[in-house]
Amino acid sequence: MQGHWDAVMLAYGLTTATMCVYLGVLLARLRAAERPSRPGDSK
Amino acid sequence: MKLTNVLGLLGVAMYLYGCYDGLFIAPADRFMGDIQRIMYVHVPSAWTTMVCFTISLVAALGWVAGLVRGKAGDGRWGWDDWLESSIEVGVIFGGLLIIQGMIWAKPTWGVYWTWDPRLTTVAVMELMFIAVLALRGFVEEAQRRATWSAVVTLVAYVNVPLVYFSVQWWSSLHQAQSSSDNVDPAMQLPLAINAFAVMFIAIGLMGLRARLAGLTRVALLADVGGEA
Repeated sequence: MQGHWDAVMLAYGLTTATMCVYLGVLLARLRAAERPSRPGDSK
Repeated sequence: MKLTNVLGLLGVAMYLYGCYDGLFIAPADRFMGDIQRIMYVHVPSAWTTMVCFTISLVAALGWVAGLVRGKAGDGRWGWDDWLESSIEVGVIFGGLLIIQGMIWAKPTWGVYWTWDPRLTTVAVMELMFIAVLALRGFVEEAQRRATWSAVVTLVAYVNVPLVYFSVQWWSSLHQAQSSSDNVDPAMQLPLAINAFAVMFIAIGLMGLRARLAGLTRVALLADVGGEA
């Protein structure tokens, strides 16, 4: 049972990466939503 | 700067320290060894998921209360925005919770998944809140979408106390809820720091997501000639 650092780092990495990716997606969507639409933009 | 953004940034700083403490300072568990360090992200994810879904319950009640008093949609869209954001963030942390648990379960239980009462109730809770998000995707009319998703949220929330008490009510392979009574004092600091850190990060994410929900709804209502 000793060790298993690979599993520990996988859990921490997955958690941190998911939060970062979700934050990035949210900021990108917010920027797109706040941008005024121009004529010809698809909705 | 908004309070939710401040909390989010504070959460990131606390998370960095909490992970450092949990990985390199806190002692390894006597029986499980280093794999137990997953607790410092797993338990905070569980608590944060519960908090997110509880916020969605409050938002659903807020919307329904407005509906009963005939005020729904009249400056009360904030409830719906927070319902959408809290469920989405809760589902993300719920998904992380399940995957972290599977990673921890394999070396300790010998399997990634078993139909244990705690695991099963968490899976049902996750699926029901995913169903609320799916429902929102299918209903285009904003007022109806808000009302239907608030009602389904009230039903889905029944799962939250079931998840919490499942380890007490039924014979479970999963350990009891973590508290100061059953966690070594040397492990309590990183656990407490990461519990608040992940919760603050989730609040920051919910604040951003609620803002996005509001902008999307205003654009949708403008398209159909309604008013926000």
